[in-house]
Amino acid sequence: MDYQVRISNFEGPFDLLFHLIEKSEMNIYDIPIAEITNQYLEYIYDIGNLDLDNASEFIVMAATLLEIKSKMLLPKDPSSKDEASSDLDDPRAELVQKLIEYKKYKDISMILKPMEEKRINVVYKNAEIIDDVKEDKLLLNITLEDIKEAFNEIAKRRAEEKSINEGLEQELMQEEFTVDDKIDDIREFVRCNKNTVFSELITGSKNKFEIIITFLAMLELIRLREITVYQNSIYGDIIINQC
Amino acid sequence: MDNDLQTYKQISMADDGKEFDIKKIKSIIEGLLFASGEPLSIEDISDILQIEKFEVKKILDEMIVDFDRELRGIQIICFNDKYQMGTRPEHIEYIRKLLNPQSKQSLSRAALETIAIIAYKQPVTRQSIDSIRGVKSDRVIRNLIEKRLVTDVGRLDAPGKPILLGTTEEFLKYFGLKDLSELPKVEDLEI
Repeated sequence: MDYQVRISNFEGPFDLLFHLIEKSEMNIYDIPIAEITNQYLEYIYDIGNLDLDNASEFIVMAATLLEIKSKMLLPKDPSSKDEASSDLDDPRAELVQKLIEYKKYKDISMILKPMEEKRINVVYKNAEIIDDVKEDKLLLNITLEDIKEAFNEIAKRRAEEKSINEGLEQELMQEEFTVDDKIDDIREFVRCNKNTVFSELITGSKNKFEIIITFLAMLELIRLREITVYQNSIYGDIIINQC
Repeated sequence: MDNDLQTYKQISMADDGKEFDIKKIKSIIEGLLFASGEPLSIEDISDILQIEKFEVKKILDEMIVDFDRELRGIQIICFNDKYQMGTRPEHIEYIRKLLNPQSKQSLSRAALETIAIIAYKQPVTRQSIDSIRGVKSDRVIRNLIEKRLVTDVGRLDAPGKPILLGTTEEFLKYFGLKDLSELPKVEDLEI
């Protein structure tokens, strides 16, 4: 269905509705609601299969159209024979108002476009930063040799630093902890000490990471019902007991 | 009688002097605009030259016409009482050969619609914009804010205190408007 390709060209439900109105040359002030609802539904029939950001808005509009259509089918209230009030009661009125307002801004945007085009190719010069350049006394007696030497120093130092860092990296790798390891640690600790507190478990911890792993291990042991925990106060130390 | 002669001499000299002055002033302003690069306000120029602001504005507006009439490669643009030099859009191909300036992307349909709403209804909430367009405009609005064409100008005194949006100076410059009163009149549009 070629409708599939086209619906993504529409900015939203109003856009589509307007297209239908213009295409079928409908009078916007007296829209044949059944007709436009049918056409609209045909267009969005397959919308579920398209990856559209605005799909939900299209569907809401479909529901709105159906509601209006059903309202139009209801018999008119016999008590309101007044011409003026029957205008207000027109179920299409609100939609028409919205369509007209939408069209207004769509037209304005068409006027703005050439205005944008006229200015978009204008090039401006950025502000010049005019420094008062004073004679730089620092570089007066430096020779090329000096610069070469200085560079070599830096390069040498950099090479040294790099090898130190690499050594450090390896050390860190060996410190990795796992939750399983910590579970075993806590089990062992609790087996020896019957009860303990969390702060004791983390006294040897080298970093935040290790503390977190210890905490996770504790949670796992709680889940396995090997320990129970208790806190005396909010954010107080966690008392751990063997089950 | 002597007094009158004196006064007459003064006035006639002042007139000549003034004509010479205006050329010189225009020349100086041209230099200022060039050196600045960035937009200069009437106030800035008035301070530097020690000339009345209304005089400065008159001279600048004359200069804009001069530059157009003489087909100068530089145009002086005006927005929000600020003035700036820029190239002519018709020369962009040549300038590209020289500079390779980034091709600026023009605004999408959605962005143009959205900014039209903001321009005419400001200050306006995001929700009002959504309601008129019939779709959610979050992303478009964020894009316009990033481009500095739109900014928040306060909050509406209503539940949730939603942010109110309005256009910026940059918006005027972008669309070639001197100020908001130059926005195309809505009555001229036909449905």
